[in-house]
Amino acid sequence: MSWSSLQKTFFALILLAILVLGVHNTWTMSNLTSTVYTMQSTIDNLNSMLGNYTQRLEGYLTIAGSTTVLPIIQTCANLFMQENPGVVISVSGGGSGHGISAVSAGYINIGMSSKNLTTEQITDPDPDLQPVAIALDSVAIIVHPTNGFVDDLTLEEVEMIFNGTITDWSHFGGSGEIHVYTREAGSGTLECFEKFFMKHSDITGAASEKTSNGEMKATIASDPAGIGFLSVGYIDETVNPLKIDGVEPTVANIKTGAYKIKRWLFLITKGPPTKIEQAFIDFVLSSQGQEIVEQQGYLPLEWFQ
Amino acid sequence: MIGAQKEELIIKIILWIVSLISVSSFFVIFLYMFINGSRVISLEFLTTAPNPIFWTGGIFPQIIGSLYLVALCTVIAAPLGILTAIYLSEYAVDNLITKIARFFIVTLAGIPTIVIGLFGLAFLAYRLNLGISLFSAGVALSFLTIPWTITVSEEAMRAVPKEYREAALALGATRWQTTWHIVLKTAAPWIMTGILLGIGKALGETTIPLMCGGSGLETFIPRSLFEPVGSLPVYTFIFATQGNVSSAYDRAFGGSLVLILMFLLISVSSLIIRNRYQKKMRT
Amino acid sequence: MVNLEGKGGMKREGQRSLLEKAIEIILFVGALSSIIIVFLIIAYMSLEAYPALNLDFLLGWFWDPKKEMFGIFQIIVSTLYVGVGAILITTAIGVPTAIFLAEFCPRNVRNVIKPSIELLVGIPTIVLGFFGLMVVIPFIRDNFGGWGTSVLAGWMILAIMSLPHVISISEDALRAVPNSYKEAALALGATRWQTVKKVLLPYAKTGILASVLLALGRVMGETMAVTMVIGNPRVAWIPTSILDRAKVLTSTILLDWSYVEIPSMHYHSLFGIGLVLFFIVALIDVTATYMVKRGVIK
Repeated sequence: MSWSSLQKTFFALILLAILVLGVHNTWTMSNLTSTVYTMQSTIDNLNSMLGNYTQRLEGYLTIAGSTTVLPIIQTCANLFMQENPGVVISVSGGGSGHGISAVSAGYINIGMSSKNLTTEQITDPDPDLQPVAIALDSVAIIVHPTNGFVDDLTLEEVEMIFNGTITDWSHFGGSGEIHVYTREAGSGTLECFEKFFMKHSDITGAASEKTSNGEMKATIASDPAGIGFLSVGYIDETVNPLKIDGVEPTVANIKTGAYKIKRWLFLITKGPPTKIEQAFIDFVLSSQGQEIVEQQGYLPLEWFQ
Repeated sequence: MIGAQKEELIIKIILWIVSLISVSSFFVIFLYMFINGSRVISLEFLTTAPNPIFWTGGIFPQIIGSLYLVALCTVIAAPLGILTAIYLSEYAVDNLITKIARFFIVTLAGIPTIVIGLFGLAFLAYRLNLGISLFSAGVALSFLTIPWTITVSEEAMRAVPKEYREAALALGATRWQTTWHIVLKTAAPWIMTGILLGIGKALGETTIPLMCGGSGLETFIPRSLFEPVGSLPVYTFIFATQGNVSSAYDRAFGGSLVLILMFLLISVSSLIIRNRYQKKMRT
Repeated sequence: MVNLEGKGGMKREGQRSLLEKAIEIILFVGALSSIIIVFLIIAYMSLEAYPALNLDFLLGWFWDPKKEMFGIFQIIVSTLYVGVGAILITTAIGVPTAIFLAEFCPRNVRNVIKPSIELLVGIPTIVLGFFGLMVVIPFIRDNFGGWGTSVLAGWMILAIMSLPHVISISEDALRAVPNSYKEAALALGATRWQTVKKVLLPYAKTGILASVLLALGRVMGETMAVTMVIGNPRVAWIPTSILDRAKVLTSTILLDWSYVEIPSMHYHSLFGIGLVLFFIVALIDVTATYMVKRGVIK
């Protein structure tokens, strides 16, 4: 009896596997483009066997790195996959440091970075890495929207808050402890923030670490006493970006140079890009891709050329 | 005696209250997830791909991805685990080497998942160049469940009374016949329960798929073992911590609820198998 | 075994023993490969961690990768603080619940509650972390002040995580006490509570303690739920109050792995943390297993 229950369970497992495969196939098939793709790939296989290989793109790309660049690439990837049904692209975060080290080691196809390879933070950069600038971005200081007592900070005040000299909102006429949030050490946003604001000192060790722009925004949006810094592409009504020396961090102000903080965003490949990598980078640099850059709240390249 | 009666009453009240607290804490969490999650779950949510740009869409690739991961993990862990358990309990001589092996296996059954995740990432994905993929994550998950499967299966086989084996051997059965017909047959439901619990463990595991499996937001089902795979726990983690719009939280609730339901389905079936077996043993 | 079967049917006997041999070899290969896997994990972790393992690493005060400082002493202390605190809460709630279920609970209520608690052993921790993020953290921030993300939040989430485990095993241990012991005490006029206190608890002591220790191991190795609620200050410190934030071993690995340069001292140190964590948890597990074995023999 007990043996037969074992058999039954195995049977059930096999059934489950068949079911899963069935659903998988139906789902894939129900997608018209996918059906076309299946047919197309059959034709391609035939073609390639006949030595008459067509130019259709096929394969997969893994892209990882800066969460600042992530929204642009995620959107581009979705459109790119629609246009090229033979390609799947997996986009994940991890931070600029991860993007650079992973692409340098060959674990991913394209690294996203919001820091330049030539900065001194990256010791011994891989000479094979080829960065391509795709857009510009800026970093804003953000607080909770209900934080009414601070709207405008000087560079020095920002530094004093983040290095732990000013620890209480009473300094600005509010009340309560200031909750300082920072980013992980590999972050390009952190690097940019430190370059412009933390000229003489380090960020306080008491600051809580967040590992992505998304997490930073979600945290500040839920902590009324919090202060942090964020890529301007992420700013929305859930957080309040502060003026620095009286200048608001808007796209217009960054474009004119009134808001001085500005940095380039990169896609990095190891060695010359392969055909499929090149096609994707070209897509991001095309007018369609640059439109996405602007839609997502970043600054397209052409404004600065 | 009156003192004792009074003490009894006080203790009883305290126990009632404490038990109420502990049982209600689960109840509250489950209810919270259920109320918030059930608003989100619809056929569309279950059958479409996520849209990570606007934090909308469904979880279909994640559900399938999770099932793929668990299936791959079980395909590796169950046979290896059972073979090892058979060898250790029925064949191996009790010497220093098997003792050390057993010691390591028991120790690894409690290994923190972050350690396996780190190993999977550094060794499987990077060193062996398997990439951030379904395969890396599935194999790493199986490392989580192999020690577990061995321990449970070996315990189950050792619980089979010695007399059963001796009777079979006395009747002229070979060692393998005894193992296959007597020991495995008797221990099968326990092994099954153990495997199912291992599946539950692998299903709810977040760290390993996060580190070696993929971003969790994949909009596609992997076409091969070496493509990245999205999984439900990672999806829930990303939506819960990174998208601070209400649609993202809603989806995180939906993902949590689906995950809880899948997990409960597995543990309920393992309990049913075990209880049926226990009843049979008693009668 | 073959020898016992007499001399009849030598040929069939030979085939049979060949099959037996083949099966034994297959089993051996299976066992060997899973044992190799187990050793591989430990060996690879040790190899990668080796350059970082020294006294500066274990007893160093600061963990600050940017300044090339890799001391994990404060992180270890924080981990113990968070883990042990959570387990004390679990024990304070879980063991009375187990006693209640085993002795004082109406039978039909128990028949519902016990299986439901068993179902919850190993519930996906991401769900608990999410609950902590949405409910526990705002609750602590609004009622106790501070950041919300705190040791207290970690304790609550971890206690909830380990409760089903402790309740379920402790209850089993209590019910494993032979009925005759209990009946004897009751026949002597002892009340139920006196019976529990004088007979059941001493008998089930090792089982309960082992379940608590095993839960401690799980709690210290838990990653996701803890990272979501514990706060993670940039430079780790030893928390001074339960509303302070903390950084634990698991969350350090999870936060740092993504940007670590390979290979670098930072990378080796992360493996070092993994190894330290593994040894702490293994030590606890082995102690618990030893206690169970001794308890069973007794």
